Amino acid sequence: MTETPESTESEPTATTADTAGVGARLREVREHKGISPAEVAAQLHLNEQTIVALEQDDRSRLPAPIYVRGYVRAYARLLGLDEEELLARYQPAESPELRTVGMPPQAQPALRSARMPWRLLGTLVLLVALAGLAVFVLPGLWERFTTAGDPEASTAGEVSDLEPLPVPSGSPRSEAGDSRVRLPALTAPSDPRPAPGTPGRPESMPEPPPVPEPPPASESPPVAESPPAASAPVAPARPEVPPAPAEAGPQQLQLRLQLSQDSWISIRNAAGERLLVGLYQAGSEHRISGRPPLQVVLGNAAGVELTVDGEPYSLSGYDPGSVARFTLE
Amino acid sequence: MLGFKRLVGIFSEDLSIDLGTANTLIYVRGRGIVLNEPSVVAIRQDRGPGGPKSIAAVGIEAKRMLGRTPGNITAIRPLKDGVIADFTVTEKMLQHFIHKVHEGRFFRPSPRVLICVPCGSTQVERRAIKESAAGAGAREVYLIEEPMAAAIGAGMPVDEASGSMVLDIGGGTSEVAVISLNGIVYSSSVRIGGDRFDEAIINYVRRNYGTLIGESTAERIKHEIGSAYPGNEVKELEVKGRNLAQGVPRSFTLNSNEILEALQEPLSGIVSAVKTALEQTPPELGADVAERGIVLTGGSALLRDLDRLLMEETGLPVVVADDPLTCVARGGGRALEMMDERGGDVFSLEG
Repeated sequence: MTETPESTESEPTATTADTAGVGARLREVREHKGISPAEVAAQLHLNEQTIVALEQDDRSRLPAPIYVRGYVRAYARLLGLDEEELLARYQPAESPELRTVGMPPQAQPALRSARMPWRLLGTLVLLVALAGLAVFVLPGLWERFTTAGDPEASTAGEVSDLEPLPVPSGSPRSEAGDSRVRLPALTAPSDPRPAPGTPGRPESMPEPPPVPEPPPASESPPVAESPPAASAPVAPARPEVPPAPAEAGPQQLQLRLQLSQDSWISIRNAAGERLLVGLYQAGSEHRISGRPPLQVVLGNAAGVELTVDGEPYSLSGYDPGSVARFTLE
Repeated sequence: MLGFKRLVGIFSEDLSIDLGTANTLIYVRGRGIVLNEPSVVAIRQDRGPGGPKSIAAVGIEAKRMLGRTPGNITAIRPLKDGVIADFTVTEKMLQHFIHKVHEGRFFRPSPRVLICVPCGSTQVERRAIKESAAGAGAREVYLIEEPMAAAIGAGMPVDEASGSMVLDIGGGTSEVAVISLNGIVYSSSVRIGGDRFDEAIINYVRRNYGTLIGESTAERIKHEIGSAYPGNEVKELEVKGRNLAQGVPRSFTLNSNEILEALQEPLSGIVSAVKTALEQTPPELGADVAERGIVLTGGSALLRDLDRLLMEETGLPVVVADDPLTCVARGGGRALEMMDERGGDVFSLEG
């Protein structure tokens, strides 16, 4: 539909001005060669009237420009004329978009790297935003939530089998109790590789001092040395943190797992907190303590040696590669 | 996400893509044809089979590698017979081309894209094309049938209540259609195109000269001395290929009459498709076609005297469109413009 208005606008002028010579030229050459219009029409499979209209440049009797250009080309070829020269006087069938813009082939961007920076940047911005949210918004909410929920927070100091650490400020008892009690949740997997993220947000999520468990000292850092350093920055936030009194119940179980093969391990304490979760390598050793009942899942029971409070726990009933699920009371 | 895409879309231009077997062309509104490159992708796979794959080159560079690659690079054509043969590679190629068109932009391009599909393609093939364009970053993908786009691009009066016949001969397929009132009345597609011409030349040379030539050489022969109708002058070309008996490269001379003979089989396939179309066309429209003629578009319409052959075989006037290679892409661009001007109901576009 767009073609028609365009052609009616542009062609009458073009026809009268530019193509006036084309028809005359064709007729002249044809007459010179002694060919009749009927013969031309037969050669080109066109009507004789079309040939006559073409020679008279009578657009009203001719179809759309694309056809006319084709006819002129064929006619010129038949007469041995330079078709391009004649066609140059006609408007192209579709005038505007015949332009071709080239692009240098060497300007090709590497496919892989082309979109990388934006992806990366977007991801980074998102991460920074999330981190900001975690640091500034969540702690406030958490504090409000927990202090409202546990008004008796400071009474949780009863789990004092380990003497409170010397802390410069705040009430030592509640801190000590609190730190120990929250311990299983945060640093539960007393994995030799400490979680790298934990020291990053000290003031809000109090990073408790190292696992207050008995020997062997080789694995966990010495309790006596680290507390001042570890707890000093922690101090301001401590009083608000809940003591989670539920944990203060019965005696904790000490588990020791030695892996002879790779295995998936999941251990949850009574409150459902994960003490140890993940796929662990053969040869590694893990010590954890938690309040029973402990729900234990060993992905490869045959590859794990489990000791509970120093007593070996029999896993002989499981085949190699089978999953062991049990609860330690 | 949709809103965001729309926002980014302000900074992207609408594209019309002629995703062809041999060449991919991209038309940008207001800028014309901005990209015309072979649909070839070279893939590098280091460290043996199963190693990581990466794109070594796309387009012209990759085409130069066709048939000349070492073991760790494969130059492939991800489209076959006008439809996608390798989905992932097509997506990568489209992505590359879309980025190339939007080079130097601040935002990641997210254009509206109109892609031309062969009219004989199945639902599955159309969907593959749509998804691969969407995967390459298109915000919206529309499909248009190739002969329709070709007719618009050629400047045919598709909106009139009279029949126009267009024959689009591409790399993989030839499409013939009769169009009236912005719609396709009859269309058919045969999987014969420039590629089949090349194959025919390769086979001919092997049979008659006992010599093996590659696809690129066959294409060069077709461009330089190929013709569809016996002409007055006989052109000759010296070619080199591997002699099958001796096993060493030998050079020999081919002339245009031999190539004409070689091309007989694929050409007769196209001619019979056109004849069938004429048979199937309703008589009124057939009369219109007979009066004005058939329009040839597509890269293979540039084969010398192809219009002459069709003219003699059908007895109808045959006209080659201006710049036939870009007709489809230009027509797609026009369709996009018309869609904006009057809403999406001008053509049967698949959104």
